[in-house]
Amino acid sequence: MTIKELTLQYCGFIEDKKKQCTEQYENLKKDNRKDEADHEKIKENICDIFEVLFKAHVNQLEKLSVSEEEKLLRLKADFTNRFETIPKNWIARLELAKRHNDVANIVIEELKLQVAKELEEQFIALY
Amino acid sequence: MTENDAIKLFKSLADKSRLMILKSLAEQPMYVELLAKRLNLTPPTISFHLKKLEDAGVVNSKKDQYYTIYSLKENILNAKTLDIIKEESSEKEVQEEREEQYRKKVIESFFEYGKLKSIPVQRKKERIILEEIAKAFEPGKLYTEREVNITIADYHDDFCTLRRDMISEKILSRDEKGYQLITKE
Repeated sequence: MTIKELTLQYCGFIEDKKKQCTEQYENLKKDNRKDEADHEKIKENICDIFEVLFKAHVNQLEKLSVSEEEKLLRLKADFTNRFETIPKNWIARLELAKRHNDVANIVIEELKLQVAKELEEQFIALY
Repeated sequence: MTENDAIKLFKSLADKSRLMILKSLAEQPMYVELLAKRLNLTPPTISFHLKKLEDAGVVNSKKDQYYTIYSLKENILNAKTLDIIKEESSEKEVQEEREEQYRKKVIESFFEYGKLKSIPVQRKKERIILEEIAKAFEPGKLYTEREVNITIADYHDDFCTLRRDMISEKILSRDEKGYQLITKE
């Protein structure tokens, strides 16, 4: 597989996920479930964050004059690392919210972590 | 019921999931997992909505061994909507409520789980956060500077600035004996 093919597949997956979130958002809003609709927006934002980061990594790698195989390996290492660093703050906020029994924020932080986990699993599955 | 309480109440009811939860609770008191199963929603989503309903005063919760059982607070729901709408507040009450709302907003944006995130630049806002911190001091009790620092440090690391500002804002008084909370006449 080339980096181009991987990008197509992974970005396709994220775009589909974002589309699902948008549709769910609209449906929930129409159904007078605004808070749950807002949760879909949060999920979409998380997809956006990782999509931007993924594309940034790919752009950087494309400038390098290394083999396609090496690029793929570096992308795997760099981008997987993002799934460690980015959610760190969300984990800390989740712990804090749990300590204070802040239900609204517990739900939001868990949602963010759940989407990040799903995106990570999908990324690793492509290799 | 104040206008804000009424808005909170109506907002809490203006959601289909929350209305379904209330319908279920009208049948009998229930716990989160049971509601989740009945309404085909996840337990975290149910907890999220129950918190909103509880904050609006529509729902009660009671610990029962392993579960928290939720039930309807019927006195609020039995009240006539027209009575709630008609309830009038005096100009003074409206003003007080407005000020209280502003105060609440400032506290919510500058505090997180009881910790001060940053010291406000605006004097009016800083006064509000200083008054909030002042609640940790007992009226009439004499404090040493160390005790004052320790108390303020629970809220923010820059206890020196906050301590000095509490003096200049006349929230705390300082003399040779120590520090004391200035109580309003």
